[in-house]
Amino acid sequence: MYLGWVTGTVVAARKAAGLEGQTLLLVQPVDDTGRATGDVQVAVDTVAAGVGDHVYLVGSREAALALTPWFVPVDAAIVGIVDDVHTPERAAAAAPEPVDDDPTQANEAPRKRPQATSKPAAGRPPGKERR
Amino acid sequence: MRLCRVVGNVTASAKHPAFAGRTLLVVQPIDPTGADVGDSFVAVDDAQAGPGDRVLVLVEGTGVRQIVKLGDQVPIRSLVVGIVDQVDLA
Repeated sequence: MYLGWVTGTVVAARKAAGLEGQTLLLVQPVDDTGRATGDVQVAVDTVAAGVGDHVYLVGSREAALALTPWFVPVDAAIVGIVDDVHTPERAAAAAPEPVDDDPTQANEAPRKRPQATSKPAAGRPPGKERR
Repeated sequence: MRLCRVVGNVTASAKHPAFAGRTLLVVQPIDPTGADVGDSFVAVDDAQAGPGDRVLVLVEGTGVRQIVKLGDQVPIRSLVVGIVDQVDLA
């Protein structure tokens, strides 16, 4: 399972059986520091997330298990909207740590959602397993 | 299973019902010497682990479903299943 930023929406009129009515969102996977990890992907939404939300996802076969009915062709599902990621170790290593919800550090830019890469989302990068 | 270090925790109010009452941790894969390997990811805690702990993380859904015992429809893939006390390299 991994963190991501919702960067857009996908509309598909014709979908495989079982996907009718499901919301598809574009997601940029990130690590806990907000650094992009891998290419933008399409994920099915189970928690009413929207563009700009920080979310966590489950990949592979377990993504389909987030849906009802569950035997559907899905390999990434948004299963939660993140309020906060608290990483004391990283905060100590790189003070001042940019924190999403802290207005006193609003000028510390790094932890913004990453820019979508212009490169088309190809397959999974070599050596990357989906968690 | 992966050897990881817990680097933090994730709070989320809107989540899939299978995650209700469960602690979400951010874990960083490490090698046996403790050096970071690859990208951090999110795992559900089943070992009362906390930031700084070296842990064993199961990254496979079928095993997770056997452990969390919520039936066949559990969208959880990564589970912290143990806290590592010691790693000996031959």
